[in-house]
Amino acid sequence: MAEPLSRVVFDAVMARAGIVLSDAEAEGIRAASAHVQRFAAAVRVPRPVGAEPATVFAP
Amino acid sequence: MSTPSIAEALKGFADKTLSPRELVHDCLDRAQRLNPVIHAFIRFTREAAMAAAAESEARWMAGTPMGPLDGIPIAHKDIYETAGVPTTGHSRVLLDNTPAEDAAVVRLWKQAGAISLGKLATHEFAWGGPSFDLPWPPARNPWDISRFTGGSSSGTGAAVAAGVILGGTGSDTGGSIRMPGALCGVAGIKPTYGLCSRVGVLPLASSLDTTGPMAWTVEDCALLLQAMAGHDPHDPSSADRPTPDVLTGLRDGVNGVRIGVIRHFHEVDMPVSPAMQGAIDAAIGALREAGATIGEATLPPLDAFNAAGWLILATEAFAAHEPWLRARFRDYGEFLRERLAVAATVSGADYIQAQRRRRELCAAVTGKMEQFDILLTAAAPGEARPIEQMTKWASFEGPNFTMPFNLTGQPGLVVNAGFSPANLPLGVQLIGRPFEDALVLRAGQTVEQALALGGRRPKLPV
Repeated sequence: MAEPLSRVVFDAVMARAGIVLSDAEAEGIRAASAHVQRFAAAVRVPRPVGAEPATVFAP
Repeated sequence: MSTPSIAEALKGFADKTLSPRELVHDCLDRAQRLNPVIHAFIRFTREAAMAAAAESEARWMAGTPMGPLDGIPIAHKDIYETAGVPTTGHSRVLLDNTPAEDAAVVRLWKQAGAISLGKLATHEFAWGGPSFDLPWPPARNPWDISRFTGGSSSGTGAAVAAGVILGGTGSDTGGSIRMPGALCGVAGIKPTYGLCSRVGVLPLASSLDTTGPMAWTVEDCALLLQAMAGHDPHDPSSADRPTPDVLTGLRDGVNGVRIGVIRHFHEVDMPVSPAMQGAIDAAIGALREAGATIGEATLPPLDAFNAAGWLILATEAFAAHEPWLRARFRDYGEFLRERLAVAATVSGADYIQAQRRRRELCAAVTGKMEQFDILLTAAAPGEARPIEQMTKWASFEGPNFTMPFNLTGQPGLVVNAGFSPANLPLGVQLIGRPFEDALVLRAGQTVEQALALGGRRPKLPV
């Protein structure tokens, strides 16, 4: 299992998002950020620097 | 009156052995009497439905039905905008939202003659559920009301299974048609991304969101899909290509069709229950008996699809809800507001890496579709679980079987293929190439006809 965000980073992210939480809520949600960190690690597989995302479009 | 399929009802209307007015009246009565138990509806539109049914009956009596669904009682998931009828997303955030116009799909079904009985329960904004702190309770599974319906098209699954509507709209961003289809024992298709308009449907994650139908039978899904598919220039994701005919070849069988069973998905990556494995084996047997060739398809691990899928879904959902989250955080239910708060922790780079991974995963599946015409796997790990076991973070904790095909945009159909020892339905999932929705429906029709489970309905008090 990946580590959750540190409390400092998590608080900064919530402040940027304009989300105000109680301490208990913050700790519960911060713990769940470990899932996001696990997903974020899993999508970082070796690939060429020019690999395109699926969201490119033709104008 | 036992609930007919859409195909049976249309035949009955045509030969005048069934009255649209009586059918709509009967469905409404049962729906309203059952609703305190299954909570499938959050709003009824009885008066409008009965007026429309009377008009439909007059047309049928005159031999001039207005369209291919004239008189069919349906209902819409409450993320589909309906003119003059509140559309809330099952959320306190939109309690006062009454759209001026119908969603494109609502309009198309209305033009085909379908009669809406009201608005159906959903997980809050198609992601937050099952929740008990919203303005309406979560829908319950008609096969056992202590069980989860699956979501997010929870009300549609419950109402179709209970036989109080003949079909309804769902939407599918990570499995929201196919999971309630599987757990409620109804058919549901997530069409190819871009086949059906999303205009007027509250978004969850735009690069994954797909509108689609749910119904008791595969044939009914095909009838509903035919009436909602087609290019919409107002939807930037809409494919500008001719609308496929999903009805004509529906009964042509699968002789020579190449089926690839993604065995590692349901045996290794996320092992299913023995009963679910039995249902998968039954579906494979039905397809083999009908002349399909069966092989084994190996794709990247289920976890790889889910990692990319959840990052994309979460980020796009957060972007859609960001203004409301800032202003009305406490108006959301706990499940959704906290999931969206976690979504805020996805970085921009995470999102793009997920979209790069998506392109790689799509390429892997596209390559496999040169060997196979249809892929087959589970739609859920087993039977519906008790609703109280569905925790806030459950969807992040283990992979699901449906997300891969939201990432790839392929059509995916769920069809019931068995029952657990507790008499709960077990759905399998069939996946085709993009815009080959008709072949997926043909394969599903083959399984459904061979297994002949459609006569088994939930036992309900009314």
